[in-house]
Parts: sequence; structure tokens; C-alpha cells
Amino acid sequence: MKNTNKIKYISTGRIFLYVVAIFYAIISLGPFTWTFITSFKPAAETAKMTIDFSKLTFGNYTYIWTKFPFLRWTFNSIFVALIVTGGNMLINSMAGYSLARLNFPGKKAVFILILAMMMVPGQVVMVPTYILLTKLGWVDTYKGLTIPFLYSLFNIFLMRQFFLSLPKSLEEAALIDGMGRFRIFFKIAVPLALPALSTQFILTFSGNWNSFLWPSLLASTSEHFTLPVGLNSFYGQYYSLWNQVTAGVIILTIPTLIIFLLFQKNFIKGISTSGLKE
Amino acid sequence: MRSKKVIALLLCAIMTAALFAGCSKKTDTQGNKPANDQDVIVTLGCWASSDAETKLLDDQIQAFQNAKPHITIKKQVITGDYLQGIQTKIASKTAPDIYYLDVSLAAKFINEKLVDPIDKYLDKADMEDFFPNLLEGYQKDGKTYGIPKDYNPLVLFYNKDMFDKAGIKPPTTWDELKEAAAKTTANGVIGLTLENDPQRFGAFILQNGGKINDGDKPAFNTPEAAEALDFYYSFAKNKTGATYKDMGVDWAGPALAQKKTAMIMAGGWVIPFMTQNAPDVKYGMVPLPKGKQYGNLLFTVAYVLNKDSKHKDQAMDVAKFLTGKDGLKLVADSGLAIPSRKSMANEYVSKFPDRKALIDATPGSTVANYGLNGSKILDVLGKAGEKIQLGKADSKTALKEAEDACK
Amino acid sequence: MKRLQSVSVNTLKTKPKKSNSMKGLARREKIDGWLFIAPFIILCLVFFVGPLLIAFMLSFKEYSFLDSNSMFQAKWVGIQNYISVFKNHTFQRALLNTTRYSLFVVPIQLVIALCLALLVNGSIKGKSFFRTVYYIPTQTSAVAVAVVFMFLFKKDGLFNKFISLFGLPTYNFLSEPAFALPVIMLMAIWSSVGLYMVIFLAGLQDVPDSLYEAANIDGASKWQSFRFITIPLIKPTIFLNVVVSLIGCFQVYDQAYVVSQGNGGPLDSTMTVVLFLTRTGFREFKMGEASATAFILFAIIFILTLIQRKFFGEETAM
Repeated sequence: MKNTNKIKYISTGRIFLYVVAIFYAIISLGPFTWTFITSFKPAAETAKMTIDFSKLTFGNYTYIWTKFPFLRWTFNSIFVALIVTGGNMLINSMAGYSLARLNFPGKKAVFILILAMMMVPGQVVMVPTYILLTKLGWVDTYKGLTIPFLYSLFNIFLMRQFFLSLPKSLEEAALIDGMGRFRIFFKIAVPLALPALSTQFILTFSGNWNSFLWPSLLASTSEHFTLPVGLNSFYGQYYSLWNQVTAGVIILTIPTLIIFLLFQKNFIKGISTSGLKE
Repeated sequence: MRSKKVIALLLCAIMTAALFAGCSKKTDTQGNKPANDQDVIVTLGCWASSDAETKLLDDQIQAFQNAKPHITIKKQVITGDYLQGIQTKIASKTAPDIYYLDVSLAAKFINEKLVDPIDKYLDKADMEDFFPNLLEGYQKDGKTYGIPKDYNPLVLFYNKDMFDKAGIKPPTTWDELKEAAAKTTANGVIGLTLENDPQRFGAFILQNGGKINDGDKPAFNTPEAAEALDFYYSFAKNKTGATYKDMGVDWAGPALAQKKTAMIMAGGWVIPFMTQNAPDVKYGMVPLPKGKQYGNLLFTVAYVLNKDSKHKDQAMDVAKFLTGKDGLKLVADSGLAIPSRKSMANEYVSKFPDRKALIDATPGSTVANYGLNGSKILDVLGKAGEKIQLGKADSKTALKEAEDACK
Repeated sequence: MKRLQSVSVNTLKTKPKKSNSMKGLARREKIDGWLFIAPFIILCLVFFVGPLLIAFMLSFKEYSFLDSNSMFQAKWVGIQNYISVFKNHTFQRALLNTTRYSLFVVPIQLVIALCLALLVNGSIKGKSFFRTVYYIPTQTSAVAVAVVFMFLFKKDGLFNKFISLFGLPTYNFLSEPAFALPVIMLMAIWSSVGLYMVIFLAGLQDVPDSLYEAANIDGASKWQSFRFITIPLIKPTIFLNVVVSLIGCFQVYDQAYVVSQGNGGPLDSTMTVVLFLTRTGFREFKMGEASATAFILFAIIFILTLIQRKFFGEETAM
């Protein structure tokens, strides 16, 4: 038996692991650190490579906070992101489950179509979709910002793959016992798919939170701007002030990081398979 | 864990309910219904701009509202790519009544009949106050389609300290420019900042007697243009000039601000940038050095009238006020842009005498309207410049290839 | 599981005929199948398929958004747009760039992502910290990333200082046609590895620890465990990531746009297919050709995915 020699030393293997982990952490954080520091610099300091700690200021943040309808934009972003994420979680998971578990006519075709639709660049449907929304009168409304985005091809694909990899035994037992599909879905499949659901939540929330193209087209008045659009609306025509841009970036990034921190706790090895061993 | 899911679903349900409840409220306050029959709402399309510029526009709008309270102006800010945004709105027939149009797009928009001729709204005598070359950019077949609101020419910004150190005066001819660049290139500083942008080196082509376009056709494949480009890129060859990219910045302004260069060629937008980012840099402005003749480019924006507008008269009221003497006085006093009216330009200079070069550069300059194929011409010329700068082709070949690409 | 117990008690009372219940189950399954997927189908049909069909129609027409004619009145030109696009030198260049880009980025991205996922899944201290740190790059805007990379790779930047230590020549990487695209590849890998790491991480959760323990007892090495337990069990996840990464790479736009300031330079070295598409549609006002480009790209990705699906085997894909 190999591992009986539990000598108290840290193997070179583990040191190497930590070195790699920390090295990549530095690479990941580097640009973000620049962004973070620059966001506290006054305009005159922005271009300099050095950090003059005495000159660092919250000025950029207070500028954004006070000069613009910042609270309104934040509310819009939160409101839209939560609705879109909630809707997505439900619709995508159900669709993915259906594709993974339920045999219905046309199932194969639907899956291929989903893959195919992912392959079309969004820029080409942008204007026809916008025209559709104007005809519905949904431009510059919350409806326009949420309803067309309540599903995600990518996340349906994601959920399908996850449901495929879950063992069928519990569900089949419940089926034979006469349990309805909806109940099986909500009571058995969903709890088992917690890591996948957490992934979906993280990705959908941050995707919607950071989205710029659609909200910028859909909102023409300042009250309906989401945060990315609002923060972009005061960049100059000819140039941008990097200290303000980075402050905006930091503001945008913090909530998604918090969400990530909260939900990644669900990625615990083996949690989804507990209780499944026959 | 299960309860988390239940809570999440409950939240969704509440949110969805709130959404529809909230929505009906929102649509009512969308504000498209004016208070009474006399009142009209005019939509104004603009692009995102700095805080100061936004305030300026808001002040102008407020001044108009005070004068004519029965017309409400609703600003529609197009964030992101303006060209994409405005085309999307046009395609969906929701374009604003009046909107900003850059002169480089004027030919196309006029040709597609997207904007109405506005001569009947204009006072001929009053139009004399505008710089004629700016108006020309928006005129076709004797009709006017836009009122310019402000503009920028190219001028030469130079670092006063570096020039003093080298013991030279600002250059006024091509030869003097060459000398100035050579004398100020030292200690990591590059004399002249170059750009692979036909809207910069185009001025040199004009100064050498060449042209960029002839109506809607490209007209840059000439010995004069080739000569001009040879001169422009000779700075790169002699290492007395470099592109801002080579200096590691994202446009010419930071090159001057970070003291990486002694001279840049740009428009008045550099001024607020320098004030905010590099208040310690002492710089001056002079008109571009002269080649065989004087030549320069003018960049301008005008208000144009949407042909589908339902309130054309009122919309033009707004446009005329915003470009009227009172409206442009606010612009002149703010110093953020050069007013398109001669009278107000004088006001601007009287308030900011050190910026006289910007006004002096105006007569004899050509507005940056390159005809119907303007975008294509700019693209191919830009590539030609790149080829020359990278040493991949000489100017004659590059220009010929560019002309072929236009076909 | 109280519910299950109560259900099984109930079924003891009734004894349905096997064949009927099987047919009934199958039919219920069909109905449920459609019910579950119905909300998605409805939304998708209205907000995507409809506009998509219009875009497809536009690819056979000569149209620009500035036209006074509506899309339906625009002139029909058959496959002329497709031919023009294929003949266009810039498109050819864009296709070459995009293919090169994808061939490099997809495997590198996924291998790094899998390694990171394994790293933060295992028994390393500070898992939450590392996971979040590796995820941060995915949240940084393309503009911020581009600025930082431009700063790192400029003539007197950190990267040049580093390689000059080894006597290598220095360049202004983003201005050199040969190097601009590789730098964008680095940018893309850096900023999206976190995403694929998260997906791999979630997929790794479904591999039971007990399997690894059993393998360990049987004397399997770490590498053997990885090859014969991990990889097969996360095949659906791998397939997902490969498909999505491929699609994402072929549709690359943001990084190319920001770095080249929208023109695909220097000398078209950073021109990607989607950048070409948006320029053709919105700057050159040729929306018909832009649509054609989109569907050409779609066809290419579709074929590649089909090939790749065969490679992966039937059971994971369908």
C-alpha cells in the first residue's frame, strides 16, 4: 500500500503545485491590480508608472457617485440581472433536463438547432431583433431589457451536459413509484445539479451584469441605462480618462466577484454524489 | 440547499410580478405624451461625451426651454458606436428628430435622402455668419442639409520647454518642421508624433497640391500625394518621428502629456485633455507648417433633420437656437469647442487668446467630407500609410494599391 | 426522503398492467419533454429565429440600413453577396486570421483551464481565494485588458525588457503585423481561462471520490486515475467546453476591435471575420454582404463541430 508512509514533510510535488498556483494567481491579478490602482489616481497621475501614495484619492468614485444617476443605474442593473438570471435558471434548466432525460419527438433536431444557433454571430441579428422590439414598443423599457434574454443557448447546453452525467437511478426509481416528472425534476434532479446551477447563476448574472451592446441600443434615456451603459455615457468622444474608466470597471466588477465567492462554495468535491451509492 | 432553490424560485416569481407591475408604470411615464396639444416633444440624438460637454449641451437645452417652454427637448444619448446606433434607429424608423452628423458621413446620408434640405428654415443673411467651408460640407446641389455646431482644425501643438532648450521657434514651413523634429529628438524624446491616419497626413497631401478625393472618387494616386507621404514618413525613417503606438500610448495626446514627444498634430480636443492630465506641461499651438501651399482638414458636426420627423418646424427651431448666436455663445465661453459662427469664434478667441491658432487655421482648410465612398477611401488610405510606415511598400506602390482597392 | 416512502406505499394498493404503464410512461415522457422545453422554444422562436430568418433573407439582397426601402422591398441578388464576400481579400485574410487564432487558442485555453480546475478542486489550501483570483480576469472589460496588454507589450514595456535579457530583439508587438494577433491570442486566453475553469470545476464535482480511493488502493498512479477515471467521466463537460470555445474563438471580435481601434490593423493582421462583418455592414453600408459573411461563418463552425463530434463519439454528443 502506497500511502502508509505519512512522513511529515511537504513533498516537492506539493511545493511545485503551490508555486504554479501562486504564479498563475499573479498573472491573473496583475492587470486587475493596475486597474484597481489607477482608479484611485487623479488625472494628472494616471499616465505615470509610479504610484504616489500621497496623491491617491477616492475622487473618481465620488465623481461617479455624485455626478450621475448612479443609484438609478445600479438599481436597473440589479433589477434586470436578477430577473434575467432567475428566468434563465428556470427555463434553461428545464430545457436542458428535457434534452438530457426526456425522449420527445424532434429532440435531436432541437439540440442540433440549439448548437447551430450558437454559431451565428449575434451582430447580424442585432438590427432585425431591434426592429422587432420597436414594433412591440419595448425599446427603452424594462420588458425590452429582460424578456428577450430569459433564455441562453449556452446554458441550456451546459445543463444538458450536466444532467447527462448524473446517474439515472434515483429518478428512475421515483418514476416507477409513480412520481410526476415535474416533481422529480424539482425534488431530485435539481438538488443534484447544484454545481451546475451555481455555474449557471454565476455565468448568467455576470454575463447580464456586464452586457453592454443590447442595453446601449435599448435604452436611449438615462433613466433606463444599466451600469455599463451609464458608465460609458460620459467617456469623451475623442479620448477617455483612464482613471475614471478604471473606477467604472472596478465598480462593475465587485458585485460579480461577490456573487462568485458566494456560489463557488457549492463546488465541493463529491457533494452531488452523496446518497447515490446503491 | 433545497430551501435556497425555493427562495430563488420565489424571488423569480416576485420579480416577474414586479416586472410587469413596474412595467405598466414605466410605459406611462415614457413621456411621449406631451402635457397639452400645444406642447411638442423634439428628440435630439447625440453621442456620449465628457461630463463638461454634457453639461454644456444641457445648459443650451435649458436656455432654449426657458425661451420656448412649449417645446420639450428629449435627449437621446447613443452610447457605444454612434454609427451603429444611429443606423439601428434609422432602420427601425425611430431615429431622433434632429441628430448629430459628422461631416464625413454627410455625403452618404444626403445621398440616401435621410435628411431633409433645410434652406427654407434658414435666414440667408444669418448664414453668412458661419464659416463657409463648414457649411459646404453639408451642401449638395445648392441645398443645405445641416447646420454645423462646432469644429476643429488640425494645429501643431509643441512643447515650449523642449523648443526653448533646442533654441528653436515653432516651424512654419516643411523644412523648418524637419529641422525642429531633428533638433528636439534627444534623450528618448521623439520630435514629431505621426499617425497612420489619412485624417492627419491628409493635411500634408493637401499642402503639396494633392487631393484625397474628387467628389465621390478617390484622387490620391498622384505624384503630389506620393511626395507628401514620402515627406510625412521621412520622419519615421530618420527616427525623428514615430507613431503614438510606437511610443506606447493610445493616441497623440498622452504622447505630449507624458513628454514623450515635442510636437503633435491634432485638434482642439487636446486642450481639455492636457488641462486635466498634464497641467505642468507648457505647450503652444501654431497653424500647421506650410508646404507648397496652405492646406488643412476641418472636422465638424452638424445638426441634421430626420426626414421622418413629425415635428420638423419645432425641431428646426431647436437646431437653429442651438447653433444660434446665443446657443453658441455658451460654447465659446466654455472653451470646449470652437463655435461654427465667425462672430462666436471671435468671442472664443477673445476669451482664450492663446488658442488663436485654432481660428487662424480655418480659412483655406478643407472640410473632412470625402464623398460617398468616404469610409472606403479612409480605410484604404490608412492601410497605405501603414504599409509605408512599416517599410513594406514605397508611397507610389502603396497609393496605387489603395486606389485599386477602391474599385 | 419522506415523499418517496409515501409514494411507494400508494403504489402497493394499485397494480397497473405493465404494458399499459410503459406506454403511458412513454407518452407522458413525450408530453413532459415538450412542456419542459416549451418556454425556451417560444422565446427563442420569437426573439431569435424570427430575426435570424430575416437576416438570412438579407444575405440574398442588396441592402443597407440607410435605405428608404424596407428590408422586404430591397433588391434580390441571389448568391451574389456570398460570391463577393469570398472574393474579398480582406475577408480571406480575416478567415485566415480567425482560423489561426482558433487553432491556437482553443486547445491552450482548455488545457490551462483543466489544469487550474484540477488544482483548485484538490486539497490545496486557500481554494476559495485561488478560485476567485483565477475567475477575476473574466470580469475585466476588454478595454481594460487591452490597455494593460498594450502597456506590457510596448517598445519599452515589461515584456520587451524581459526578453532582452535573453538577447532577443525587441519589438513594438502590437504594431507589428506578425505579432499583433499572437498578443491578442494571449489576451483572449488570459481573460477567458477562468470561465472554462469554472465549468470544468463544476464537472469535476460529479466524479465520486470513492472511485479515486478505489483506484488508489488498487495501486493506480495519479496520472492513471486522471486518464481512466477523470477524463471519461467529464467527457460531456469537455465536449461542452470544446464546442463553446470553438464557437467563441471563431466569433472573436471585442479584443480585435479594441486593440486595432476598430480597423483590424496593422495591415489587416488583426482582422477577424466578425470584425469584417460589422465593418462591412455598418461602415461600408453593405448589410447584405455582412449577413452573407455571418452565414458563411456559421457554416464553417457547423462543419467543424460535426467533425469534432465524430471525434468525440456518439454517446456524449447525442
